Amino acid sequence: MSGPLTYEWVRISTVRSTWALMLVGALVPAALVLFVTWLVNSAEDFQGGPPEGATAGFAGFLPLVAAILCTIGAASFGQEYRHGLIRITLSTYPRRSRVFAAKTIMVVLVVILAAILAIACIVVANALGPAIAGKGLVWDTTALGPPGLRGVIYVVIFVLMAFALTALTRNQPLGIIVPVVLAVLVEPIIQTVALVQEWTWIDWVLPFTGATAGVGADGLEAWGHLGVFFLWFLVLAIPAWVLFLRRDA
Amino acid sequence: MAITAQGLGKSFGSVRAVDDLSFEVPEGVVTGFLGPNGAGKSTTMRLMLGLDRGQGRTLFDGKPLIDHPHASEVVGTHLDARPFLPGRTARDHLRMLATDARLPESRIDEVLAMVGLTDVANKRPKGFSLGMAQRLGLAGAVLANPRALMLDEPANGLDPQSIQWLREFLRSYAAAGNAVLVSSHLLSEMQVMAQHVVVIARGRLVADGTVDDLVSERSDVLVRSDDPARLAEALRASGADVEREGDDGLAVTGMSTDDVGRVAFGAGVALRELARRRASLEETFMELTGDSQEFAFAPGESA
Repeated sequence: MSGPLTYEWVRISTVRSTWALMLVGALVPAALVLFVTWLVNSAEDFQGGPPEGATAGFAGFLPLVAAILCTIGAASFGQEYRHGLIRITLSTYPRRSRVFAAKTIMVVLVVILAAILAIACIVVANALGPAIAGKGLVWDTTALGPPGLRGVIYVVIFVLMAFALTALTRNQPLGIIVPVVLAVLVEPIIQTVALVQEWTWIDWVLPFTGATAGVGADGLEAWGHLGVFFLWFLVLAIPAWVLFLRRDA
Repeated sequence: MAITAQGLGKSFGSVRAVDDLSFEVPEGVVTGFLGPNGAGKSTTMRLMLGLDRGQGRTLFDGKPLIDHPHASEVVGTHLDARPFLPGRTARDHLRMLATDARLPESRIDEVLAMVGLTDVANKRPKGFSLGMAQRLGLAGAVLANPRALMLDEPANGLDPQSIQWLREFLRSYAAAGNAVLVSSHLLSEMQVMAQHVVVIARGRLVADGTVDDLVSERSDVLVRSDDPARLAEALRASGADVEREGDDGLAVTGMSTDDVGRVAFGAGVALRELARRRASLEETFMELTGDSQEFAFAPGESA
C-alpha cells in the first residue's frame, strides 16, 4: 500500500494547482472575514457584541473554503481520466482498490492540512478586523475546540463528495459544480419550502445544510449531522468504487 | 520473460472488437503487432494489461500482472501519445512512476539522458512536440528496466533519426532477454524492427510467426525463358504452382530457385532470367488482412 500512497503524494504535490488552491482556500475566506469584521467594528451605530469588538465566527465561511478545495478532490480522478493518465496509474498499480484507497487517503490528508490552514487564517482575520477598526485584537477561540474539529471534518467530507462524484461520473467539472450548486442553490430552496411546510426533519436529510448546521451545533446533534453528511458521501463513494473496479480504464 | 495472451475477448455493444485471441510474445525478439485501423490492437493491449475488462487472461512469466509485487518491473507500457499532465514537469512525471520500484533520482536522470530530454527535464510538457512526448512516454516505459515492453505506435511523430534510434534500442532491449511488443502502422519499419509478428483483423488472429516465415510463404521465383509453355508444364509436373507473367515470364511458388533451374535444365529449356522475389511485409500484410479494414477509403475517391 505504501507504493500507491507515495505515487498519490507525488501526483498531488507536483501539481501547482494543489498548492494554489490551498492558498486561495485559506486567503479568500480570510480576506472576506477581515473585511466583514472591519466593516462591522467600524460602523458608528454598532451596538452589539462584547466591548472589545465583534467577530464573524468561522463556521459561516466553511462552505466557501470547501467549495474552493473541491477542485483538489475532483482532480484526483478527473485529471487522470482527462489526460489518459489512469492507464499509466493502473499499469503501475494494477490493484484498483489500493489505488482508490490511496487516492481517498491522500485527498483526506491534504484537505485536512488545507482546512486547518484556512480556519487558522480565518481566526487571525477575525482578530485583525476589530484591531484595524481600533478595537484591539479579538481572538475567537471557538475554532480551537470541537467546533474547529467539526469544521475540518465538514470541509473534508464536502471535498470527498466532489472526489466521489468525479470518480462516479469521470467528469471533473460535474464533480466540482454539483456539490457547490447543491449546497448554495438547491438545498436553500428546499429548506425554504420545508419551512413553509413545517418539515422540521429536513435538516437531517439535506447533506450540506445539515452538515453546516452540525458545525455550529452542540453535542450529539452536531456529530449526528456530520454522520449523515458522511453517509451521503458513502452513497456516492461505494458505487464509484464498484464501478472503478469494473469499468474499462 | 514471455507474455502469453489466452482467449482474449471484448465487445463494445454489438461489435466484437477482440474475439478469442491467443498468442505469445516471446522473449529475446521484437514482436510486431499489426492490423488495419479498428482491428483491435489497442483494445488487445489494454486487455492484456487488465485496463479494459473482457474475457481471457494474459500471463507475464506465467502469472497475471496483478499477482506480481511490482508491476513496473514486469512490464513497461506506452499506450497513449501524450500520457502525462501538461502542467507537471517531465522529471516529476517520472518521479511519480518511479515510486513502485523505489528507483533513485539517478535512474530518472539516466532515462532522461537516454531519450534526449535532459535539457527539458524540469519543463512542463504542455509545449512538447509529438516526438518529445513519445520520448517521455518511452522513458516512463523503460524506467524500472522491466522484463517486457508494450508500446502502442511508439514511432508516431518521430523523425527518421529517432526512428532509427528506437529500432536499435528495442532490438537490443529484446536481445537482452526481454519481451517487446510493438504495434505500428509503419510496415516498412516493422519489417526491419520486428523478428516476430502477430497480425490481427477484426479482432481475430490471422497470422502469428516470424517475419521471415510469413514473408517467405508469399515469395516466389521469377523465371523467363524462350519456351515458357514447356517450362511451365515441366514445373507443374514437379509439383510447383505456376502463373504466367508477361510474354516470356513465369511466377513460380513452392519451389526454390535452385530447383527451378534444375527442372529447366532437365527439360532442356534455356533461361534468360531466374530470380527469387521476396515479398515485402506490406504486401504480406495486405494479403493477410485483405478487405478487413474497419474504416477504409472508398476506392477511386480522392480530393
